[in-house]
Parts: sequence; structure tokens; C-alpha cells
Amino acid sequence: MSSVRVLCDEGLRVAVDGGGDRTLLAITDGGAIRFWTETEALERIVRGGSIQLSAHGGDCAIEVTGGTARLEFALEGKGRKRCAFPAAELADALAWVRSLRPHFEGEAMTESP
Amino acid sequence: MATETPYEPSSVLVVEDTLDDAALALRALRGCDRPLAVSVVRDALRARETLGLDVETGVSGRKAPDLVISDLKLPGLDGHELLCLVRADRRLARVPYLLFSSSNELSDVQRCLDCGADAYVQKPIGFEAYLDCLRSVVHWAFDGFPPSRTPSCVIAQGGIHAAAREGA
Repeated sequence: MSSVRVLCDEGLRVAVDGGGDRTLLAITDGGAIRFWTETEALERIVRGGSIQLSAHGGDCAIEVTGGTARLEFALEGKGRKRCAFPAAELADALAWVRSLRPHFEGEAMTESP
Repeated sequence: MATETPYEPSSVLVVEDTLDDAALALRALRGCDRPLAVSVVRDALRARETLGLDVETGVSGRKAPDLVISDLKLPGLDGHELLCLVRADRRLARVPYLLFSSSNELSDVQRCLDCGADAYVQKPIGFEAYLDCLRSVVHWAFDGFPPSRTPSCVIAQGGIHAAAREGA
């Protein structure tokens, strides 16, 4: 059984992990950035909307329109890359995260890079 | 080696109906070079829902964002009315609040500051000037650094620091 939900694996790899009310979005494109955010913030955009997650070294934006989630990711020093996946898959992944016990800061994550 | 944002990155709500202005805010927030989770809504009704002020559904008790950036001219409920609703809610009363508007009417600026806006940015504004203003407000809100004053960025007297002192 997979320990993460993979939303996209062509060029960019977008994986969802976390637990309870915190979701970890791990995006890999040569280098990797893992963005923690509130599960609720991502659940809100499933019905239409957008969110931008930024970190030292990169950022990603997800916009949902018409049942499709479009993700744009930029790693510092590299260009921007995009991928798209059904919003329903994001919703399923978030429901799965909700079903997991919460992680705590500093706890090792289950994904192998 | 992967970079990882903090377990609870600072959260920002952007309320903006104009796509170009929302893109400007997002670009400037990326330029603040700190871990942020920025939600964007296109009108004040969606903002009320996101903030847990939705009287229709009775949603409340949501975690307050760490910063709100709102346009003044919005369809339906305008930015000033949204600001007053936010300031009237005990949970949200001290959330740093930046208004962004094309109005250069002093009365608009003053009524927003009177209602509790922490800063007011007048459009049109070049990207560098907007970035300077936003960085200043972000450092003020999150780190407690004194804000800088620029011609296009009106910082409220007292503002975030005064609210923090009142809460101490």
C-alpha cells in the first residue's frame, strides 16, 4: 500500500501526505520542496479557487477551474513547470489525509525522495 | 535534500477580483522570501466564508489568517464593509489588514484607517514600490519590524503594534 498519494508523475512529481488538518505537498523536479499547509485551505479550492504556497527556494500555485487542478511550480534558478490533474483526485487525496493521524513537526515523513 | 516549509507556515488571504492585481499580490508575496500559504478569493462573500464569517452557513471558529490583503472596490460587499466585519469579530480583530485600492480620495483612506486597516496602498503602483510596501507590512505583521512609509503606502498610526500592545 502506497504511503503517499501521487497526483502527477510526468515531469513534475506531485505527492500528497500529511495527517488530519495538516497536508504536506511534496513536489519534485530535480530538487524537491515540501509545502505544509492546512488541509482545509486545499479543500476550499477543490470547489474552485486558488492557493499559492511559497518557501525559501521555490513556490507552487494551484488553481482549480471546471474540475481540473492546474499546478505551477518554480524552483529557484529553474524555470516554471506546470501539470494538471482532476480536482476529484485532489479531493480524494485530501480525504485520505483527513483519515490519517496528525503528524507533528519534526516527525519523519513516510515518503522516500 | 528537500526543502520543507514549517509545519504551520504563515497564512495570507488575498481578496481581489481583478486577475492582474491578484497576480501582482501573489508575485510580491513570492518576493517576500518566506514560507507562506496564500489563499485567493475573488469577492467579499467568499472572503467571509473563508474567514468563518459566513452568516448563511453559520461557519465560525476557523483559524484566523496571519494577514489579509484586500481590494477596496469589490463586487457586492466592498472592502471597507468586509474590513469592518472583520474588526467586529473578536477572533479576527487583530489580524493585520492591508487595503489596496485605486481610490486616492482621502476620505476613502481615512474611513479604512478609522475602521482598523493597518495599511492602505494606492494603485496604480509599480511592482518594486508594491513589493517594498508589502515586505514592510509583512515584516511588521510577522516580525515586529517598524514599517517604512512611502508615498503610495499609508501605514496606520499605531496599527499592528498598537493592537499587539493592547493585547499584552
